[in-house]
Amino acid sequence: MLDFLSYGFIQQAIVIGIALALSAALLSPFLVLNQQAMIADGLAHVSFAGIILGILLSGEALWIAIPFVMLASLLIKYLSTTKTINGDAAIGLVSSISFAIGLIIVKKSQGFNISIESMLVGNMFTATRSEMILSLLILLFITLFVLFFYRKLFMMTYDLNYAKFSKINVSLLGYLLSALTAFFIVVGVRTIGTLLISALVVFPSVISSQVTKSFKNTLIIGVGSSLIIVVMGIFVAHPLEIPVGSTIVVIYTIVFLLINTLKPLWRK
Amino acid sequence: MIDYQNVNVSFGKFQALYDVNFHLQKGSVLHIVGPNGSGKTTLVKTLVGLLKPSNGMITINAEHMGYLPQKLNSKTNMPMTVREVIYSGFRKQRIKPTKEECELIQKWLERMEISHLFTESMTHLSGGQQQRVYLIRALISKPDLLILDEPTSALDPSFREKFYLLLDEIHEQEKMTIVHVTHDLTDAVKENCYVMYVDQTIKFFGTYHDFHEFEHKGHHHA
Repeated sequence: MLDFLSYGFIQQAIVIGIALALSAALLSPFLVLNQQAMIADGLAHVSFAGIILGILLSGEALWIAIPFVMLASLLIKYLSTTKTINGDAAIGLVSSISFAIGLIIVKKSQGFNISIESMLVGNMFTATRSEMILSLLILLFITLFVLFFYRKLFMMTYDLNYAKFSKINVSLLGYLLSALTAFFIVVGVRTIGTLLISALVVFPSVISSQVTKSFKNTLIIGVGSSLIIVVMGIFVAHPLEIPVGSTIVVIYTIVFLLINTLKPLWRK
Repeated sequence: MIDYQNVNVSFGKFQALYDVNFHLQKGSVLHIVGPNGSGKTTLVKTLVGLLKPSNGMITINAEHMGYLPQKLNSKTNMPMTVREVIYSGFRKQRIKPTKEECELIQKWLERMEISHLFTESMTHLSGGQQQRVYLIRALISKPDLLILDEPTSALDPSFREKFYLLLDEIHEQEKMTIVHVTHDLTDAVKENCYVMYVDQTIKFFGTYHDFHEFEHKGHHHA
């Protein structure tokens, strides 16, 4: 039954899945609990345009897409710090403009050799070796970032003014968090899909905060549960021949519903 | 310790504070009073560095500041424990607090009569309990300047009295400078402290004794 594990592309998909799930779960509490959950969704839309531009201008789409989406994330961050636009409006603005530009380019480019559906849904089993390396790199960067700045990120998340008072460079840390999220999204979009990548960021904290009182445990449980769910998703999706990204989101949802149903049975 | 020279704060055309000049010696206690919207919290924000003055000079010679803000964190779905919040008041923080640091947190919780809340979720606490936790966060790393913005607003009256006794005790022991914004001077004041009456600018700055005369001349604080 587990014969499919002997295939190189499956092993590669598992490595990418684990790396992306861990990266997203590590970022999750600092975004979701800080009312920035939608930034992942917005940046996924931006990366649609980024990847299309990348395919058009170079052989390696990610070399163009990564800086493109990182710049867009910094623009969203900047716009949300100016008092004229709210954070969620800034995300909506930048992401919809990028998505629109992406669609126009696809329509107007002759012989564009990529299906829009594959970009929206993603495919983990067709990922390249360089995407696997990038996934591991992003995991390394995010792990180091969270380990090194954990206390500062926690203070920024729960009390921004106190973090400023404590002389934490909240602006620099905020930009770094945005840039790393952008990096993660671009790499993840190709494998999980534009429409579902934000689920990897949103679900870990939403699930783990149902079962623990502490911030640190929210992070740890989120990472652990994501790891299990993503691996389960790959194992279920392959034999059933259904998209991995969608399978993962469905399992996340089942776990979330189960926890909420069983929650009244134990005291938080 | 604190020196303000010609400090002005404006938001667009609105002038929140103008011509603020005062000097506070190390180890003093200053109570700031004034009507609602008079600029008390704006003044405090310039003191703790959350707001830059539009012009003027602010000099603060403090090694370490403790701050209890007026508006406390109110994110309802935030998973965080009392211990995590207090630990964020330490000057140097590790990923995992040491045994000594946990013991110090526990001692403060006992002093504030909430020792049973060590691992409790902040969202399960009453307003008064939360305020005590944030006060410990401000005090835990022994600041030499403590800034309290209406610290007793969420405390029940029985603990309010204890709170000021505790503050006196800490002031005596640590000799820290305290700046305290309040609506109600009666509980807080000891004869040898300073009082500042703010209404867009400093209308009075002097000893509590002199403040009585100022009040009798027809000025009333909040």
